[in-house]
Amino acid sequence: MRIGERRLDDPEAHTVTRPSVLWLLPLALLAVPLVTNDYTQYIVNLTLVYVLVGIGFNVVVGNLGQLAFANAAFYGIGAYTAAILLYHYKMPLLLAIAGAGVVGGLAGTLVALPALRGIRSFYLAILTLAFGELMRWVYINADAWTLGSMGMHVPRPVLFGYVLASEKQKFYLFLVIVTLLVAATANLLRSKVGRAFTAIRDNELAAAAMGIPTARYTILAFAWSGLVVGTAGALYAVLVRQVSPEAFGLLELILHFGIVVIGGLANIAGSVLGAVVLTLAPELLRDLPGYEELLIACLMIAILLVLPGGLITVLDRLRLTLLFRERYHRA
Amino acid sequence: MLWKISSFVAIALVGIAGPAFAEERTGVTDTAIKVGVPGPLTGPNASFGAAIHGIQAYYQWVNEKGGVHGRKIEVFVGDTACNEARGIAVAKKLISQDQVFLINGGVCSGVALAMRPIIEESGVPWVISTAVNQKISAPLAKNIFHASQTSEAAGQALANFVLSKPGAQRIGIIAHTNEWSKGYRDPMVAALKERGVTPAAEVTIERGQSDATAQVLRLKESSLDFVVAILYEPEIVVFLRDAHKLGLKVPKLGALGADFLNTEKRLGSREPMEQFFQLFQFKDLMDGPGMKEAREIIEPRLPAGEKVTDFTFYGPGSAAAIVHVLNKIGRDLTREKFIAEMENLKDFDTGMLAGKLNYSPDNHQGAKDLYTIGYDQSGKLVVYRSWDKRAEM
Amino acid sequence: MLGQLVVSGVAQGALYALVALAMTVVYRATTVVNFGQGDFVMAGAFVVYVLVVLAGTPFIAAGALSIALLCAFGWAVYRGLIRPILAGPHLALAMMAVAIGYALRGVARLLWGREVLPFPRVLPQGSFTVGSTVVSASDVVVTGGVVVTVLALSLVFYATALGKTAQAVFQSERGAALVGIDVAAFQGTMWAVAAGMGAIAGILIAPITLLYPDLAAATLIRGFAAMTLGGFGSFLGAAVGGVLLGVGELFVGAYLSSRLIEITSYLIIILVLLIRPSGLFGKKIAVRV
Repeated sequence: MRIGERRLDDPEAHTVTRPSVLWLLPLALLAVPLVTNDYTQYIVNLTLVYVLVGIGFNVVVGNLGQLAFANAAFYGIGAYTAAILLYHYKMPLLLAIAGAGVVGGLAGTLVALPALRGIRSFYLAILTLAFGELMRWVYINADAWTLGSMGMHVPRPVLFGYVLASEKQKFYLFLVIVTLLVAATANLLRSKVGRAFTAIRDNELAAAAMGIPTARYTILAFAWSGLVVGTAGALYAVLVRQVSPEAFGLLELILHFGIVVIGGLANIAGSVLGAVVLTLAPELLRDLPGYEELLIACLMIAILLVLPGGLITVLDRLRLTLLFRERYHRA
Repeated sequence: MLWKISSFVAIALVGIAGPAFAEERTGVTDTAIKVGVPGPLTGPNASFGAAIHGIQAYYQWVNEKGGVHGRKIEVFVGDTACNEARGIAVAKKLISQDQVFLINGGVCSGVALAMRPIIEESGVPWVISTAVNQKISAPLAKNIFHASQTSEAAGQALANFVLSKPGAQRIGIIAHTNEWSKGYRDPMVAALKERGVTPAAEVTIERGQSDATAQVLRLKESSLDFVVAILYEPEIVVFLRDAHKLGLKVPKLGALGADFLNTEKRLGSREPMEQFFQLFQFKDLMDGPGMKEAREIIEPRLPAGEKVTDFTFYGPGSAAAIVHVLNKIGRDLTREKFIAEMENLKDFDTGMLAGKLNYSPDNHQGAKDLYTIGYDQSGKLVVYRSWDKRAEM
Repeated sequence: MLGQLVVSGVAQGALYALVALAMTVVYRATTVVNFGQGDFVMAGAFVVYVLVVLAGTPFIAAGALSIALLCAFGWAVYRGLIRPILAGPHLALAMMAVAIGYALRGVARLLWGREVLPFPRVLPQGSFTVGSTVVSASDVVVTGGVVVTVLALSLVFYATALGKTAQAVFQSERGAALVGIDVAAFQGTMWAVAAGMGAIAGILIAPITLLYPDLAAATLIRGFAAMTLGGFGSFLGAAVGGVLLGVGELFVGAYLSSRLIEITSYLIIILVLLIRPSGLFGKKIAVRV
């Protein structure tokens, strides 16, 4: 059973998420700030950031099926771009966030360009590993812009003249941005591009034989991933307001892997679930310090062995998600 | 589709335009004073979390003696794992959920910097216990006090010690590229430049590197009078080992990132430690008379199996100051009074840290003294004030 | 200075070569790239630490025990975690290797997370000088240890029945199965060997770097750089690549800047993959569509 594949007699087969859910769910979430305090609202905001991280990463690792280690690098690039634009160039907030997304997308394109020369599978994976670590070195050494290892302080976010001082205010901004990008990603994956990704994942040679330009789609997947994860990085910069090189290394990467594997590869709802689980875990495991890393790893191992589709498949089997799905119509 | 988007955005914008409220809580009850203690208990820098346990042990001792004016200190520990996003979660939790009276902690400078805007805005008093970066407490914030020696002070101390050696002109530096090292290096270089000295050679070594051959060779080529090594413990060991092996025979000075005796244990012999000095933030050697009282307070109250290192005592000095101030205020305790009394604290001996703590309304960085330790000619471990002056105990 | 850089570089590079060789063994036997190899190295070192410091075992015995334990662990990992999903997508295998590495690190951090542990003094202390070059006894022991391991493996590979089996499976897994070779048992053995090699590397590295859970990260990347430079899948390439990397890093640090030492391996990976993906001795990668 391949990742993301469903059995033909599965009632979930040939279904996709109802488009209306992608709007209604966020509308319902607007009520969240009524029940949170500053701390719990911060955790919700952090979860939203990681939802984007998971969505973006899943496009490459889940849908395209390419192992990649550059996600923390895209995250960092987005965070630093936003920080630089806000701090050095005093750009308006939305423009800075968009800029971070664009630069993230460019970075994704850059990393995947060697695919045009035939670099694939684990060679590409190792290339992304090298790229990721190289970026950390760049953050430290390009200190004219990044202020080096001291890290950069991000000024208070100001939207159309209002200062976003509290977590609740940031929440609304984040919710809008995350919803838009999730919907766009869902659209992309539902289109012929998404189908091409799946074809490449399942059998690249066959996909190419059918006329799919696999190198170009690989680059597209990385570019989109870079865009989404870069935007997530910008939101991180706005949320934490302190961007420093140490935060984007291998320790961060394991979190990203955990989100997509534990939540569900090639599955949007899975990315959301993964983000929720992995952001809440450190808070819930507060009294058991040190177990977290081990638990994430063991959970990943268990899922890879037994539930390769991720925890979201458990929800699927409980038929809960049937409410949110509809028959797939050819576009 | 379009109407969905616009209605959604409209509702969201209304949410953003609403005002933000800050709530006033005191964290003081009839029987308890809540104190938040953030620090890294897990993650790659967890060894510095020993400071947190030192603080907990100190408060436990205070509680055993009856507390402060009939109130026990209730400690809320928050694990930041030396990660900014987690650090902010810890700060927010302590402030909004646990609603502590004051915060006493902060070990990783990067995380403390991230926590600063949040704590500053909340008005909760924060006494920094261990983190050194001086930007955490400067520019001055009414509710933030630095009770450990800042990187500014440390940089000055490094420069002073190095230049107190007669004839020291050519200084070399080996450091990490992280913000911790830079925090020492920059003020030291500034202090050197003020006295007309520019570093003659600078090399870097990354955390986790097991070989310093290239760096040592480069330093050797520069005919140096002194080398300043701003490194954490594993890399200090590697550097000293390779310096000894390759014959870099100049005095070397380390910063506050390692335990002196542990370093020697790891090197396995005395020779590489000769001519090696290290900044020392305590008033006396660990087994000296000056630290006896502190050890009796802290060591029996640490978690079972916890190894005592220098870092264990690098937090509770701030706790001692806090308890002293709380005692002075008396039963009627508010945050404003705490801040005012802290600003009045003069010449306070923490029983652990070098020198005395001194605060005023314009100065919230109370710890400026730093000593140095090293082996003298006869092989005895000594605490120095400068190259040829010992520290009076 | 040149001589010193070469001597120290070779000693460093020997360790990278050992890691790269272990990963090549696993790759050739099961086509899985073991992203957790660095953590096998760390685990091997930790086991020795526990045995020597906590149980008082003499070092040589502890070393041997550690290798044996890691071999068993490698075999168990293969049978329990790798084999069941071997038929599935490659991605899952790679992620499984990643997850295993993280699990090992999690255990180490849990047990010893708050300390950087001093490794027992095992390598001889002295050094001798040849001309202006200082060669420390530990350099000799490390390089010697790696050379002995490599020779032993080569002997096994070329002169024993196991070696013949290995050659058969490396050439064609299916073909080997068709002629009756128990491929599963063989692959399990290879994972055991790789884990054992990791233990040896750990025992050799730890006295130098001291022990901490994140020991793995730097080792892993350098192993990859060595494999990439030498050519993926080539044993000779892994060995040569490792040594060249070790020397290269020191040259970069001494002649260019110590800031660049860290990124030498990343740059090598990027440059080699862009210019000559098959590395020095690797097979030419079939250009895929």
